[in-house]
Amino acid sequence: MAKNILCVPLDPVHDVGLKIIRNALLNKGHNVDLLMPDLPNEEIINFALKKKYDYILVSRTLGYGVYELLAKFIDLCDAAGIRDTAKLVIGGKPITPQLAAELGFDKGFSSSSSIEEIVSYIEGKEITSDMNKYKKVKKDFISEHSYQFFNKEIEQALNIIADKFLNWAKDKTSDGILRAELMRNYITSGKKDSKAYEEYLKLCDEEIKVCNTGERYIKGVRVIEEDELLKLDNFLQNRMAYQPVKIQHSNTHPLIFKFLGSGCPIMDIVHGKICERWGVDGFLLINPSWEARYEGLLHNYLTHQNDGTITSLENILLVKKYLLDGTYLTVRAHRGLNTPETTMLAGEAGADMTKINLVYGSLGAGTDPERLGVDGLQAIKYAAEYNMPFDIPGNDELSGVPAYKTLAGLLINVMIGLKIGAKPIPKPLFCYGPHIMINGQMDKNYIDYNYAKIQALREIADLPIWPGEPIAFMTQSEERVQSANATSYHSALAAFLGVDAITIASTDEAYSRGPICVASRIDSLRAVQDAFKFIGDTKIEPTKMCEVYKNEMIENIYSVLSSVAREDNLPQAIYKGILGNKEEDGAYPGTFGKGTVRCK
Amino acid sequence: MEETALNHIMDGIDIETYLTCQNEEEGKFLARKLGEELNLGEVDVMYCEFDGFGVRVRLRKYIVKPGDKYNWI
Amino acid sequence: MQIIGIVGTAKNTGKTTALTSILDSLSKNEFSLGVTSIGYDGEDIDNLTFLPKPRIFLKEGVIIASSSLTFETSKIKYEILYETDIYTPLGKVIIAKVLEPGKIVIAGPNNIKDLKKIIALFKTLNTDFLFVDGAMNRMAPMYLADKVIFSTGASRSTEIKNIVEEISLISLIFNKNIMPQYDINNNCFFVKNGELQETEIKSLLTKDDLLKLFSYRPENYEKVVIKNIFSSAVVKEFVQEILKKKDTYEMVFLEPFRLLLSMNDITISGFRRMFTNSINISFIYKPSLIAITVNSFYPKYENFHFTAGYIDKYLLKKSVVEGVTVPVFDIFEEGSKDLVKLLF
Repeated sequence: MAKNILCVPLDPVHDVGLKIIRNALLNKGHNVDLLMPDLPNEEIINFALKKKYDYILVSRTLGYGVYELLAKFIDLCDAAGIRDTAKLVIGGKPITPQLAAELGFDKGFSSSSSIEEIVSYIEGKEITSDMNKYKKVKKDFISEHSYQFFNKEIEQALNIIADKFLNWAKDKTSDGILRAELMRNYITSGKKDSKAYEEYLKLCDEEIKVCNTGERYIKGVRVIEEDELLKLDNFLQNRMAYQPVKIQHSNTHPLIFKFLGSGCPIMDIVHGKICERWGVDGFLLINPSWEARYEGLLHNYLTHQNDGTITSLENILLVKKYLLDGTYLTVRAHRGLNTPETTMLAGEAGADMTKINLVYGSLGAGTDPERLGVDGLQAIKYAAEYNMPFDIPGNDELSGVPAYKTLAGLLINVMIGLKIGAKPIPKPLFCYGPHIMINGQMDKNYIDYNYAKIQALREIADLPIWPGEPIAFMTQSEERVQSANATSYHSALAAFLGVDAITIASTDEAYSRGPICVASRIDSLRAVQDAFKFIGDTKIEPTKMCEVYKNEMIENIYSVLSSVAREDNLPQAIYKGILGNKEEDGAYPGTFGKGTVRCK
Repeated sequence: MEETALNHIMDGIDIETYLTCQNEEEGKFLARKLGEELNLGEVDVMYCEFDGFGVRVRLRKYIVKPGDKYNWI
Repeated sequence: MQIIGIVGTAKNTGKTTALTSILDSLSKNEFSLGVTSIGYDGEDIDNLTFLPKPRIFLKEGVIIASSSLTFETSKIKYEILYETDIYTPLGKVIIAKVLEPGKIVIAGPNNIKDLKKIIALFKTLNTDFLFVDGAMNRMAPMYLADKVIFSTGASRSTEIKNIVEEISLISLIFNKNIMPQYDINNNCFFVKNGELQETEIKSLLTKDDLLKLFSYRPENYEKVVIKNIFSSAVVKEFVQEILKKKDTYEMVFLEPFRLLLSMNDITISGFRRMFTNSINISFIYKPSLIAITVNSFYPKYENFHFTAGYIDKYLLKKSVVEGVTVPVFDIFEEGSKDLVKLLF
């Protein structure tokens, strides 16, 4: 039904916004009267009394003395009986729901509100509170993909590789797997099963054991005091996101992920809350690199003065507690001797996803291929059991592995995951990796080759795709604007390609001698927001080289997978350098945990 | 806690400016000296590029680091 | 049920302290207490910590009417009694009972129509007292209260003279008689020899309205009855016009808050002149002003920080007592024990 609407520009000069709204409402068949700007309250009321209005829309930029003016206007409307029938609505740059409420209006719209929102409010389609707009709901981007393979040759090779691998691993186990089960028993018993915990400690390295008994901590690690947790709680109770930002300009734009792993969960949480305000969709919780070397994990609320946040159950729960329900949390598990346990802890803590790559974890992150094969498989089983999709980073490309080998590795993880009943998400890199530098595929532009990777994967199978990690890796310098720009250009490419998610850097990511600052996180989030707005729903046209790169890539992936399929098992292929070799690719099979795999 | 603005810094402070100098070495020296003069102590030179007239710099001082007890909380 | 309105002349005039103290005193006698507010009063500054103080402390059993979002951002434990169909920018207004003591910022209905609904709902809950928190610049619905308390002090002005000038005028207005025989739904009208002379004027908003009103004026009328709004734009002319009439003269307004709406720095002298001996003012309906609270504290903003500012509390109270005809309390000094007695 057509509504009667009175538009009141209270600003001395400015009525552009209301004119746009008036036109939108007129187009929808409503009756709209627009007053001239800057009339005194009494004349406005006089006009408003002449007709039975359903809505009175007031626009006003707030400034000194304006509060009183608006409050008086509201009171006069009420006293004159206008509010018996009309709803009073205010729009203006700094208007929040709180401010609209304080001024006495029925509804407030800020400059970030869309015309559609205002029209649907007027038409009574939206009656819930404003905060719902900012309430993010996690979308199930994985079920949008069928995991169907289009390239049957590749599918066949992957089947052989995965079947051989599962067969190889089926009678094998490790201390990492045993610890994960013991710890799970201990946790699910409500930490009462002290026997399980004792058994667990027996399977830990000495350095870890003494930490867990509280005797001596690894350098830089300390228990977070209760007072610190209370202060954190108090800090966050007294604050909330002011006018939260949505980065995606259209719903086909990818989700935005950032790393958290300052070492301190309190710092991570506060950074996380600020990033949520600036529109981030999720975080990857990154553990310290030394966790990979030790048998056993540390437990408790722990902080750490170096890179990487200890992913104890307590710490993950703490991060989870303060992040919004709509913010994804994925926990990195895929490297080192505690991969199954970390995944299990992520699952117990209610994380959304976990990060596992059997190949990269062995080649770029130092874990023995056999050990990570056995442990990683168990981790994927946990991921399936806890219904956590697992994301597979392709970061081995950064050490010099050519993209096709990295992509072959991602696809092997995908197939193993699918056979276990898990939901794998491959993460090809948007980067200027060493192999590319040497071979010159990006000399002309940065689009063709990154584009080709995505197209190659899409021709092979219908998979969720999440470029990482972070995008624009090795194109960024320590200079702030350059770094933000590089992130934003790559995010624009990702937006055009319609990938499901991206991981982005901060503008101090390339600076390796200190922790990430929150201001630098905001920089890159702002940059991506603008990039998405800039590209909107337009297209990027690659050169014909893109097609050439893509075809080469698919051929090479097939050839790599065929070689792997000919080997007895996946770890053997990794040892042999088929997925990345020492000589050319700078990929060294890891040594942590060598010789620790045993038969069940 | 003393109510200083520095105590409100969440983690680090970046200083971005241009310093006139003869070469990159002098630029870096001046950048560190600037940190001292601003009473920030030793600052990190994140980025420093000499262009013939001076250096474009990005300097950083961490006021608190992860694992510290934070002033602002 | 008694409806008690509390009106602050500015933020930080001690309204929340007065309300908290009154609720505290009453809860000892096991009264069923309700609290709502006209809209949302934003953040006060706490006079001890100088930090924003957006919340009121409520004991268990108190029933509140507030917008859903204020419950979400509060840690208060509550039981929902009724979900209304009233929406504010902070969500749907919910009536809930406090289960465990806690703090909350209250954002209730923001207009006359909705406050009427809320009052009706509280009546069904057998509430003994419903407190309605309001502010000087959001007070149109306040006439629905039975009794009102005004809170004023250094936050309104650090000049005691200004505080007294305003509050004494308010006290004067509320001290006037009521003329309950007239229908509140009529337009403005004149009375001559007990007979009504109707007009088509609903509110006195502009000078045009004023001219039209006077065009209906009978010779030697006794009363003029002004409905709805008597706007600040017409105060001066109106006063000039009626002062031409030499004999005793009577003006009837709908209720005092509508008259207060047009009071501002410019019209205050016009108001003073209206209260000369030759003009009698009365209202068709009027809540009774039972007390005034004063507060010598004000937040002093210096170098981006709030510090505590105080004016002379003894002089403040003494001056206000001299300027008004109702009891005056400094709740910070004396509590609300004596004030509460006035509620019965």
